[in-house]
Parts: sequence; C-alpha cells; structure tokens
Amino acid sequence: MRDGDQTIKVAALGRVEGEGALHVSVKRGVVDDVRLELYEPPRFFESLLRGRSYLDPVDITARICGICPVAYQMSAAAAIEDACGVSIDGAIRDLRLLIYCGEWIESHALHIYMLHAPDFLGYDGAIEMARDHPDRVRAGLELKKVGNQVVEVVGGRPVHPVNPRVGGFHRAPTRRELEPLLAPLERAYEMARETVRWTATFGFADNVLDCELVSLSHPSEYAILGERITSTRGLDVPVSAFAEEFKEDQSGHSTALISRHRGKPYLVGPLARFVLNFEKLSDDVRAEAARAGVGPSCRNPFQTIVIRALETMEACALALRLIASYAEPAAGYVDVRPRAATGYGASEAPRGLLYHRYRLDNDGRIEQAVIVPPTAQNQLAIEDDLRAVVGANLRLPREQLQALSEQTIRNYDPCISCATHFLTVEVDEA
Amino acid sequence: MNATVVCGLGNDLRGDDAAGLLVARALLKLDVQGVDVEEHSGEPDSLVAAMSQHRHVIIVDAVAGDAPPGTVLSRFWNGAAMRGAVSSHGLSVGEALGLARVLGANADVAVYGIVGRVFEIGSPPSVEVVRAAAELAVRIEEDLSCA
Repeated sequence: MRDGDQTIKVAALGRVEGEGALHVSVKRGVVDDVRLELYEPPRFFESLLRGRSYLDPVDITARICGICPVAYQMSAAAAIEDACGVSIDGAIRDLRLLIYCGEWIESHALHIYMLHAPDFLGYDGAIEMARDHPDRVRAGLELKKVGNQVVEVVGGRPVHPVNPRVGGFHRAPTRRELEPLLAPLERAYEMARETVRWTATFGFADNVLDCELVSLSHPSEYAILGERITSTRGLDVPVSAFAEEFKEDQSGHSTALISRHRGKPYLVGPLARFVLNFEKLSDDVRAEAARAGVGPSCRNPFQTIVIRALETMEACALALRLIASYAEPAAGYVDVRPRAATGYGASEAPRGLLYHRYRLDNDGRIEQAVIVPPTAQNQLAIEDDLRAVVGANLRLPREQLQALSEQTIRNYDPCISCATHFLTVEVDEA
Repeated sequence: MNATVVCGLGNDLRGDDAAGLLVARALLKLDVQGVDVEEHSGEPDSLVAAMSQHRHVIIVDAVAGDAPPGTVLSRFWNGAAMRGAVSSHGLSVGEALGLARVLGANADVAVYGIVGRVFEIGSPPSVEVVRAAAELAVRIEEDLSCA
C-alpha cells in the first residue's frame, strides 16, 4: 500500500431500509472507485405479477416494502386505471392523498428520529441516542404512530394496508371514523414543527449536489399524486413519457437496474420535491422553512433531514384539511373494466418518484409489469455524492470517514428493500 | 389488554419468513384465552408498543441457520442490545427490543426462532416450517395454560 492509498470497507450498512454493500477505494489520495452494490436479483415482483389479474398488483406490490406500501399501492392503481381509461377524483382521490399523508408521516418520522438523527448527534444508533434523549425518541415514536393511525383508519391496518384497490377502496371510511384522527394530527403538526426547529440546529457538512433534481408536479398541490414529471433542468413531461426520458441498465456491480436521465445521474426524493414544489407548500410550512434556513435553492443533501421534517408538517396540514372537508363518497371505488392497453402511473413515495407500468390483455391479465423505485433511480447520484464527500474528507481518521460515508448514504434514506433487497457497505483504502 | 402478548413476525410473500405469522394465526385458531396475539411486520414502533404495554412478550420469528429447517430455537432475552442482525425495517428486532428497554419497558421477553429453508419472494412456506409453526403454537398454548 502506498501513502495516500486506502480501502474503507463497511461490511453491513446499518440504519437504511434493507441491506446491501458500498465499496469505496482511494488510490494515491484520490477516490478511485465508488460502488453501491445491490445483491438480490431484481424484478422478482415484476415477474411475480406477469400472468396475474389486473386487480392483484395493489395487494402484491404493497409487500415490496413495509415502510412505503401505500406508495406501491397508489402507483400501481394509477397505472392500471390509466390502462383501463379510468380517472379517479373527488372523495376517493382525497382518501388516497390522506392515506399517503399517513405514510409520509410514519416514514419520515422513522428516518429522522431512528435512523438519521443519531448521525448528527454522534450516536451509534437510536438506542444510544435514547439513553441521552429519551423524550426526543418518544416524540419520534409518537409522531410515527400518528402516521400509522392514519394508514390504519383509511387502509384497514397500519402496515401493508388491505383496503386500497384498483378504482379506490374496498370501503370508504365514514366521516365519524376519520374525525378521531383530527386531535392526534393537530398534535403531530406541532411535533413536526418542533422537529423542524430541532433538526435545523444540527451541524451540516458543506456539500452541494450538482445533479438534476426530478419530481412529480401538480398544478395546485405539493407533489404526492402528481400528474407530470418536472426537473430543475426544464423537464416537464407526462408520466407516460417516463420510459422515453429515463433509461435503466444493469450495472456490473449491482443486481438492481439503475437509471439515468439522458445518460446522466439524477435525484428524486424530498430534496427534489421541496426544490421543485416549494411554492405549493402551505404558508406556515414555508415560513418555518425560512426560519430553518432552507429554501428552493437548497442543494445540500445533509439538510434533507430538515426537509423531511418540513414535509411531515405539510403532510399533517394536508391530512387535517382533507378530513375537515371529507364527504363520504357514494361508493368506495369506481368500477374499472379491463382492456388491452398499457398504463402508466407514478406517485411520490417518501423517498421519491415511484413509477409503475403495466401492459394488460383484454381479460385484464398482466403481460408486462415495470416498477422503478426511487432508490434505483438515485443510485448513481448517491455514488457521485459519496465520491465527492470522501474526496473532500480524506484527511479524516478512517473511522470518521467511514461514519461520514454512511451518513452520506443515509441522507438519501435509501430503501434497498425496494430497489432489490440486500445492501452492505464497504470502503477500501488500498 | 392482557399481560401477555405473542408477537408473530414475518412477511407472507417471502416463503419461510412467514413463520411467525403462521404461529400467530394458529394461536388465534386455538382460541387461546387471556393472551393477546398480534401479527407484526417487524416495525420497531409496534414492537416497542408491545413491550411497553405488556408484562410478558413472546416473539416468534423466522431465522436462518445451520440447523435443519423447522428446528425451533428458543431463548429468553436478557436485555442486551442485539446488534449485527440485518433488517429490512430500519431497526432490527433486537434493536427495537433494546430501544424499548432504554425507554423504560420492563417486559420479560421470550424469543422463538423457526429455522427456515426458503425465503424467495413469492415462495410458499416450506412443509417443515408449516409443520413446526403448528407444533410451536400448540406448545406455546400449553405453556401459557400452565402458567
């Protein structure tokens, strides 16, 4: 080994959703190689869906991830309804937004308090942080619980909800069933505000992300069930154009397919949503963002912990508005008849844009299924960011550099369960 | 709410990973009295809640190991944080239990693991695990009846 050569290996990356590996090698003081290695053969679920009924993906794809099942259900339903020529609006669409708010709240609370805050406060994990900050951790668990409650009331159970279906919901909740959520959501809104103020006090490493940011957009709503795909470099296309714009291929070091936009890495997720949809946030949330020192010009991935807290506020506020204005629909779902067609659907999972495409035959049998999760889209951007962070911090002691590398990955809250299933982290200084 | 809860952990779509769920469902069919039976996906907050709300917690999960498929392993958890286990849920089961303990939950915890053979997405559980789950449910029911 020469001076300036090093190999940092992290055998198992903790505090991410799933498992996998990261390998970084440094030669002669320069970062030589960065690889996120995702091991599990991809696309199990896509092949599992082929030949099955068009009504099945909403239930089956929910099992891809225990943290963001609603995102899979909503993207799947949107794509199948698109194939069948059905558009959902009114109270059923509102219920979809409401259950999605629940998922954002529980997912963001889990990531902020259990997975990411320990990095900023110098703890190995949530257990160690809880010894010194038990009230903070309890608050995080309580916030998450409110999100789970919303998912349970609308979806039938808090994890892997069973009520969503193609066309809407097996049964629409009554107004009386939703109203008990109001008080917890009001409390959660203030807890989320406190979370913004708390996370804004963390120290953030200097870092500027240079890649294109991509998210859904909607004419009047912060992007959850958006209609078009937009970017910081002027992209503005319908969801159906996703496959024309974003190309996937198999990297040699990963069994997950990875995505590029016009040949280059891009980023989806909270930072992209926030930057591209800032004006759609409610006034109070934008004011809180200003107080926290983050705005639409933010490009520092370390600050996404603050942005997740702001999105948690927004999700609470939206959930409160949706319940306040809720009028029970005459039926929980719209009848969706199959036809031979291809449909496209996307929604904003907590970790970013989640795209589904299904080709159906006349009987509604699935001939082809394509699912592009956020983590697979972010893989190259994460690798590029990691290359920059490691390169700028090579003077750090090895342990600190390794911890910073892991924290850098956790900035993106990667859901490796969705992208494939097993991730491990490894940094080489050889 | 009862003093004792049985938490069956797992994922129905990953073959033998459903072992804990199979035990929970078998216990519900046995209509065991005076005990709460819950299905869990492994989410940390639901386990923390179970630990906080009960005096006795029985956790049943699938495990991978060298023992023959269907082998039942058991131990009482001593409160030490169990690291090293990988999880697709952000925190491992051991970490969730450790977190509950740090936050003041004092439940005693017994853990049963059923050694699995197949964990591929879309696979049904193996016959060995299905049989072991049914037997373990009866064993837990008998143990609880004697307690």
